[in-house]
Amino acid sequence: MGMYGELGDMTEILDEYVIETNELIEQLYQDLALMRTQISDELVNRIFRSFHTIKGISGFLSFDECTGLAHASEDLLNKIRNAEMTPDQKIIDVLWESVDWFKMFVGDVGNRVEGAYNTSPLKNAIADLLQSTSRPMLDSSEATSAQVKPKLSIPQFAAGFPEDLIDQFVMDITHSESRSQLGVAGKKPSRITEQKRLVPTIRVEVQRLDKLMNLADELVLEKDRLLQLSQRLANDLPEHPTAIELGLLNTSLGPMATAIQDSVLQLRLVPIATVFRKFPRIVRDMAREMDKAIELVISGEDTELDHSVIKAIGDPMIHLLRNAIVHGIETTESRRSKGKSPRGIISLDAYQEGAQIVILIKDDGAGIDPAKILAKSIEKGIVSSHEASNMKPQEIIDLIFRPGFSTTEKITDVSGRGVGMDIVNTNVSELGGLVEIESEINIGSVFIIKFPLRRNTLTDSMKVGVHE
Amino acid sequence: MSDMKVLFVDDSPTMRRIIANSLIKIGFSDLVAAENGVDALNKLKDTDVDLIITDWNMPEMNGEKLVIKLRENPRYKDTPILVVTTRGMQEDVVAAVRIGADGYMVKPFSPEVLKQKIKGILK
Ligand SMILES: [Mg+2]
Repeated sequence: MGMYGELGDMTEILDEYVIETNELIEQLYQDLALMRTQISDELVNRIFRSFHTIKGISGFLSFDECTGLAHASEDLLNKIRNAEMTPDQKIIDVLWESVDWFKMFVGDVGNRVEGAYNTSPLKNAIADLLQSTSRPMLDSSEATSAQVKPKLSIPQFAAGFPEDLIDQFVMDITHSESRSQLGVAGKKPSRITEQKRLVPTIRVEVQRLDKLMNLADELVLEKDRLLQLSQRLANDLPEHPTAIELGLLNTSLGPMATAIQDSVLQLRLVPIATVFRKFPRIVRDMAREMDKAIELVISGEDTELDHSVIKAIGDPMIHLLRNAIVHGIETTESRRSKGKSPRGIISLDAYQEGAQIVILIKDDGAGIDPAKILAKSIEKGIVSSHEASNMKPQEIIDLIFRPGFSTTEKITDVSGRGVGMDIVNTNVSELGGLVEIESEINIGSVFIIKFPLRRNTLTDSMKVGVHE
Repeated sequence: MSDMKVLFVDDSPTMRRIIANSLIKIGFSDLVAAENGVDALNKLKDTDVDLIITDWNMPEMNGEKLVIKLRENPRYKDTPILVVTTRGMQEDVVAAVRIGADGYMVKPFSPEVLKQKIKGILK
């Protein structure tokens, strides 16, 4: 699909292309050298952007080899960006070789020979690296039926599509993209998560699901009306064969309509892994910044929630994690003096309990001291000392959700954002959930978030169609 | 539509040239270029435009922040915005539309596609 000739003066564009690509190549060499000794989001993003720009502009010139190789390099960087991969020498070497290739290509772009630039060895090397991070680590006896059960997976983006986007999202039947291992660096990836990778999935944009859900809701309403009408008819004409037949039809139509509605709700479920996968890196960085030793333990990442909850739950969870790191887990010395293991543990878990989904954020840190909370609350005028005298310890702990409460004594880089627990509480309640705390001094705290399994679909469907 | 003033924002000089050539080819002549979101907001201080075309992935201020800033500004809250993205970056497109962009375009695109996309968001 060459845009050649359509863009006006091509020599001008080609000149510009060579200059810019060479600049990007120099930048890439510098940044990759830097990555051998250090890593930061900024650095990874800059490297990503360089490859991304090369990909973008090469596309216009129909330099397909470039586009392909830049795209493969981007994939590697995406994994690094999402903390699913650590850029070891091998990875940096391959990226380096890609840059070498671009340098060679741009060097003779003026007299290039179509098809003379083979990128396959490099692309294969990248594919191998990508593969090696997601190789299943289970012994075959543990393979379960999950492997053969096809499953629908929904991309993690929400409604609000303009009409023409539909053309853009071709249904793409494929093996589910790597659900990324969630283990903290150095830990074995979860077995179930790995198996899911092998399950064939189909990507569907959320708007279609929302449309389907609205139709299913309508269907159930109409089914109820039909049922009423047929009952009235059966009252008026009890012996009429058509009335009897209609009654029979209703007994099979009814459950079917409800089953459709349920199935559609199921389609909207997304594993919480998509949220959890960001956390190992966040925790690692924050722990480093606070100079604390912290291990993050994740479980239940296959628990599924409605996609609208998944989209919105990340921020409140990050806040709670931050809270656990800054206020929960003590410094190494302080832990030692208490006779605790020097390394603090934060665990994340999610599971279904009856009609609820429960998410736990637990730390084995200092716990919340009701006396401190009470003093602070009185000082801030959140409760009067008179009210305080009658409060139970749990009620006191719950005061941290009141607007205006914040126990931060000194503003630190990672926590001093001025966002209080009340915001977490508000965010979660807006999603139809609630937050609870259990805490014990020197044992630790657990923040428990609960959501109803079934969301109120009306609020969701009202959001659809804003962009029309 | 050819008498409209268009601001286009992209960190890549090559892309800026490609977009400028394409716009000229489809009949626009009043063009303003910017290198990133910050630059775009600066340019907008002394000039009003009728259409904004912006890249998504840029240093300093990316397309997302730019669109958010524009939509917060009463002066630009209704200005048509076309976001330029790359194939395989569907999440970006969705994010763009959610924060108030009117349309998107996937690289590489021909001048004809650009024309159709602009027509589409102007109607
Ligand atoms: Mg860019």
